Amino acid sequence: MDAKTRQVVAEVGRRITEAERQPFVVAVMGQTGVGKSSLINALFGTELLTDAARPCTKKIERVIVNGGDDRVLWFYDMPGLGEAGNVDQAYVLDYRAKLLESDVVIWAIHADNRSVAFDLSALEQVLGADRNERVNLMSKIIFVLTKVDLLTPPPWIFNISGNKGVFAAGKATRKLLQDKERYYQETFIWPYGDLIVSRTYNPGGMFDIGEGPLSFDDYTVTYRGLLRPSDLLCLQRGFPQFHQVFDRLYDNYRVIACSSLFRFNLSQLMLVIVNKLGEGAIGRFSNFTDGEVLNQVDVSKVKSLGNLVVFDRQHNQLVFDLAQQQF
Amino acid sequence: MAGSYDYDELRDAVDERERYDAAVREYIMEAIQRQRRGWIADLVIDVATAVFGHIVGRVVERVVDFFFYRRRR
Repeated sequence: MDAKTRQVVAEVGRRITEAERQPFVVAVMGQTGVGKSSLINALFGTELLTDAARPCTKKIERVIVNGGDDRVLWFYDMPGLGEAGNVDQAYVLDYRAKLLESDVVIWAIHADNRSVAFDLSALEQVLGADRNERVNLMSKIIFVLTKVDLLTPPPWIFNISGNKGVFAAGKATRKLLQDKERYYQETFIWPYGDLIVSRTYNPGGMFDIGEGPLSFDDYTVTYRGLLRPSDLLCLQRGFPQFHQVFDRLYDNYRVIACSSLFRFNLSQLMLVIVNKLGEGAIGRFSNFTDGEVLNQVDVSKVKSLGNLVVFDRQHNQLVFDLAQQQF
Repeated sequence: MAGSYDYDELRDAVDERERYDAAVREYIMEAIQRQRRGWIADLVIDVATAVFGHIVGRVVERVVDFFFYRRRR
């Protein structure tokens, strides 16, 4: 290897190391109490404070998490825009700038929230008037319904395998989640369909359809515009060999119902995060994923989730306590 | 009420979730791998162009395109 080739190899190695040492920046927007910090902890293995008694911030907070092994994560904790009262233009600009500089933007909405007016108004303010910024932001934002564990009707099913398990939603809960996801998708995403650019990886470089809103290279498949369920169905019927690619393109602009507590749908959310990472962000991101199974929960933790104890006063006897169950 | 559950329904819910999670895990790993390789391919071309000049850079680009991926830009 001659000197110049060695120089190229050394420089590429240096740039990779340098990029991997840069902080990975995640912004999470959402009204107080939606579970922003818990979501970050569940996704990235951080230990942000989630104490319910912690004073709620009304301004943008940057939390720097040093995870060891050169892992640095910046977390922008962004309260609902206007939550503290009237918002001036300078604050909106700062808000937008923070979102644009972030690698990932999660817009968290409480799953049991019945009013969307506040979040809709905030979204329109954040997107602003500049078309390029609107496209850029809409391509980054991932809408998430949080705390779906609080939804009824039951059951939530915990499927045990050894000392771990995975939560699945019962039939009625699944239907409720689908309805909610669809409602929020139609409300928050469909009106901005012309701003949407959805990307996913090209499996094995095999995808080769470059018609209409679809384009591709050996690495990425791109769909410009809104991919509605009816469009998805047409594409899947027309090109069944690529149905998984179309699913992923569609899923990028779904609203993802998840639970940090039950670790429900965290893998799905992580896939959308990866699909939406911008140029070079993968180097920073790689530090925060190790292929672990994101949806698994320790059995010991599940036992502490029961908030119901049944007591028989007449016989002075504890009838049911999840923590004491053998499983 | 205890014992009132439809066991087929429980099994279906769990099976569906397991299949879904397994597929998503596979997608994540492939997406990360392909994004990372694409990013490194870009770096190699940029640095080779800077060190060897534009003409050699184009040759390196062709080689990378051939063996790895067409780049994202």
